[in-house]
Amino acid sequence: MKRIILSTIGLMAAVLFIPVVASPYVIYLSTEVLIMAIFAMSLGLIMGFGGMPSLGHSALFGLGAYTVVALSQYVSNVYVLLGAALILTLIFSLITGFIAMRNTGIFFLMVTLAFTQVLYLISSGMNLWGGADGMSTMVRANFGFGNIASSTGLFYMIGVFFVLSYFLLKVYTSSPMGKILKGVMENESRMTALGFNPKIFKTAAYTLAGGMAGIAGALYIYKNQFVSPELFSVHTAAEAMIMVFIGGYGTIFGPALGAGAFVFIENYVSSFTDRWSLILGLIFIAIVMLKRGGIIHLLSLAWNSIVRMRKKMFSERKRNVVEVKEEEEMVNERITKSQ
Amino acid sequence: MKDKTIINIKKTMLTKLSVLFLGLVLVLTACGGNENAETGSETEASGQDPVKLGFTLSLTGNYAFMGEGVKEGIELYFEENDYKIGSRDVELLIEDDGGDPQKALQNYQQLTMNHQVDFFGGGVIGSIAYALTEAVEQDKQVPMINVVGSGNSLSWEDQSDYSWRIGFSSIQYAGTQGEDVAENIGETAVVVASDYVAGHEIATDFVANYEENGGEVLDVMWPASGTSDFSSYLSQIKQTDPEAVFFFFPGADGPRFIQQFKDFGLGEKYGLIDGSSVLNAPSTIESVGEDVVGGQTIAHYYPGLENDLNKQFVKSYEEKYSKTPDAYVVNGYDTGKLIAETIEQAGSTNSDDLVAALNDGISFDSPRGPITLDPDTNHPTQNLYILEGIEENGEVSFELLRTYEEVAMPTENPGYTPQK
Amino acid sequence: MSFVLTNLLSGLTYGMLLFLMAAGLSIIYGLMRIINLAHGSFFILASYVAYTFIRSGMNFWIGLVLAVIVIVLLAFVIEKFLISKVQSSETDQVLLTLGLIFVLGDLSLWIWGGDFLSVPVPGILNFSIEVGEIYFPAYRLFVLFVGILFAVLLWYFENKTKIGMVVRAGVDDMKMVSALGFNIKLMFTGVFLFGAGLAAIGGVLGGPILGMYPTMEYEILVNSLIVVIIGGLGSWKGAFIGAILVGLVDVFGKLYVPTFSMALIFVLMVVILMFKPTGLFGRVET
Repeated sequence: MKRIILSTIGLMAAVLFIPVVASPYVIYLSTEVLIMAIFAMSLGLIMGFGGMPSLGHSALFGLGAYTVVALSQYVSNVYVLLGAALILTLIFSLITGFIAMRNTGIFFLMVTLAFTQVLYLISSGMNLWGGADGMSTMVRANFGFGNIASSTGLFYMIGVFFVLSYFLLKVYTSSPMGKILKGVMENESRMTALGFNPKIFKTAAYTLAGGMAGIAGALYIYKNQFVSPELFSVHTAAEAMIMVFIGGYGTIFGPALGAGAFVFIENYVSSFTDRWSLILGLIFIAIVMLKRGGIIHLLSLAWNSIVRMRKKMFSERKRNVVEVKEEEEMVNERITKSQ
Repeated sequence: MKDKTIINIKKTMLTKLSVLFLGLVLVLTACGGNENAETGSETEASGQDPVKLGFTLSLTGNYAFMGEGVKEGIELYFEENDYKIGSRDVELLIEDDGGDPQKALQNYQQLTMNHQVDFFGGGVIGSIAYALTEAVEQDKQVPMINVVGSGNSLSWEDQSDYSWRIGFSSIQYAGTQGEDVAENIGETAVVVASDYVAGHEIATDFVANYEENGGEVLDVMWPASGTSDFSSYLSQIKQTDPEAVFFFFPGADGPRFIQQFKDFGLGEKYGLIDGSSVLNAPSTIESVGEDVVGGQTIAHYYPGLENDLNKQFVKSYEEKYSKTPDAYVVNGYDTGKLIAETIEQAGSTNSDDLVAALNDGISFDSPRGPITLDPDTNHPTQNLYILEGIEENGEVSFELLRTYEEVAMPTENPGYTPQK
Repeated sequence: MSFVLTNLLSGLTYGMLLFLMAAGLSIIYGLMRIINLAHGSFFILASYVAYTFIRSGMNFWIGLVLAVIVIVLLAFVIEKFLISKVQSSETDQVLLTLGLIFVLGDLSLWIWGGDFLSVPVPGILNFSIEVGEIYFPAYRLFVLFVGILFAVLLWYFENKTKIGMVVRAGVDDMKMVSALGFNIKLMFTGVFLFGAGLAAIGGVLGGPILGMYPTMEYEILVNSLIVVIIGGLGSWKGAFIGAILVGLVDVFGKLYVPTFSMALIFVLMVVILMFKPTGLFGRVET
């Protein structure tokens, strides 16, 4: 628990620090990063801790966004809008999770895809909320101390949600609930034999992740003020999946790092070339073929080699050899686990 | 760091994460900062700021063929003018949005915040045109050229002083066609339109004008966009037995529909009227060939147009890209020209001056004929051409049947009963 | 009556194209437990390659054969250097083949551009058959025929040939087959290439009906995944029945519930999965 609080404080400091040094455009991009980070972390939970690869996570992101836009025609209270988005996505993910939980692997993937596709078809085919043309809203967040309109204000507002989500996920995964979930992913029949009903734990995680994705979608509206059916597309879901993998599968913070890397790399690469999706595909293939895990794993490796070098410089050889070996083993273990 | 190795590792995990995260942020911030620094140095070198033009176009995805055309047109125009407007250099920044309005909005932010462009352009498809118009209207920082987006309300309820159109609108096309079909083809028609907003709008405008001119619409059908097999609709048309079939399928569905219309033997029986300007697209002719023969379409541009500017335009386009230009290329070309004209008339790149110049009503000669931007609707008043596909010595081409001169965009929403 | 019949034929034709695509997907999964999301890219790449050959003046049938060969070679390279390395992890397969979709899709956009393209109908079949009130393009009947022919061939292959029986046994129990001394690696490669070849044939034959354009691989992939999920992974019979079902629901759905015709297919799939989690003919327990 102490570790969790410490890392949360570290994260908070980092978030506070960004607007101090960044240009307005980088703040804008970082806001995008934080939203996508919440989204990717929630997907990371069900994929990396629950073993549920979902191609339908964009359904919840889009649903959160659409809820805010649709309701903002009548109310502008941010608590009501975010609350409605949260409740609706929780209910939706509870129901769809319950249905999808009958299947695993590719079947699970397809059922979740079906949900998001149905939403996509409804949102683009019906004339509600702008249909295929999408719809914009003028809504601004007001938590009781004035409209948040500046980009820095928006960044901090979303930053709060980001840090909260991180904290929540950390607490959840280190709680008994989270440990059982991981146990189910690693060996479902053993957990069943131990008297746990795997479906309950998986559905719980799926619902939590769904609500979080819904909040990310709702926050997205405060940044973009525009919904369109593309939010429900396979592409959005695939992008979130990429973020999870680039960042580091099987960790909480990895997907957030992945979101950061993805948004910034896409932004800069696409300025130079139209072949972004080719590059993206190659990144995918490289991640799989190199079997080195995501950024977070690479960072661990890099950090450990720095630590090792320092240790070499400061003598005490015998002991260090042992330590270094232990360290390497730990890192390797973590990587194999996450693969 | 000696005794409690395990604990230390855990602690280092923590610290290193924060440190590396911050490091990452700093690096990226530096990247972001670079952009402005570079511009600064360029300014000193040339003595005068280059004019920065930023575009978000759909260069990948379903609508890539439209975005590609616009891009080629823009580049052709500035190449012909040595990348200069007056004495100032032109810097073109073109981003891809893949047909996704969310990505287009991000590109807009990047181009305006990071690159501080003087003029902005985009809107290859309807949803993007709406999203961008809304964004430039809220920010009121930089004027935008809507390169294709044909939604009517962009000239009515959603009109913005900051968004100007260079293409056509649903009512300009379908309204004219409603009149034309009633007068020249027949008095009964079936409408088949793609089941999304633009399809509904086009169908509404066609039906209203067709009926005003004495036609009767027997049936309206709405295939989903992305329909690959139209046979069920085609057999329904056969049962209804109209004189004319008016269809609207932008993108890949269009050529598919044309081809299947012929395959199912409807070509000889009913007049095929295209409301999506897809029949005469060079790529359609290339891929479905003689299936377009006998069909009629409307266009604000076609490559066979008889004027000197167009001949020159077709020649230089063919030299550069070795294919025939289509309406999207002309939209891009005219976008370049409109921006150049506006900046010259305004005498600066200050956005207020630019908007004022646009509001004075800019006219110029385009390969499509003379056009005037109407400040009441922010829409070009232009000639529209009714064309028919013909075959001569094995070559498929389009013949001009009728010209509707100087068709203006209606200033008010006529309030037709919406179809669907 | 003729109205229903015309639509029935259309639904079956579309179903046969889906079958050619889905059969490979299903058999590959059944035998190798590999989800190849890039299977749809084989389909569309084949039509692009055939388009290039045929537009340069080549005979349709030669173009068909050459395109299939090109795709099989490509599939060979992909299987040997990429897919065979990720046999153990489903997640890796999803990621890798998703990456392949991006790469292959962007490469074809680069090479062939974003325009809608279409393979011309072979001259010999470029006419329509008129029986009473029914008017149907001969080419489509031909595609329908080819689909059925392949179903028969697959049946024959599975039941009457030795390799077929080994493959079928492999779907049921891989360990046993390898214990009997069969070269599993060779069998995997063979089945993968065969599946890719079927998709390529479907792609070229679909070229004159569906055409080609960017992002088409997703549409065909999603539809054929639905087919195999409904039919059950690992069985070509399932793919055959599933394809016919999806083809018919697609055509008749458009007639009677146009706005929801696409959603209908998804709903069908979810309902079937709720009652039969492995699909109608599923041999693979997941």
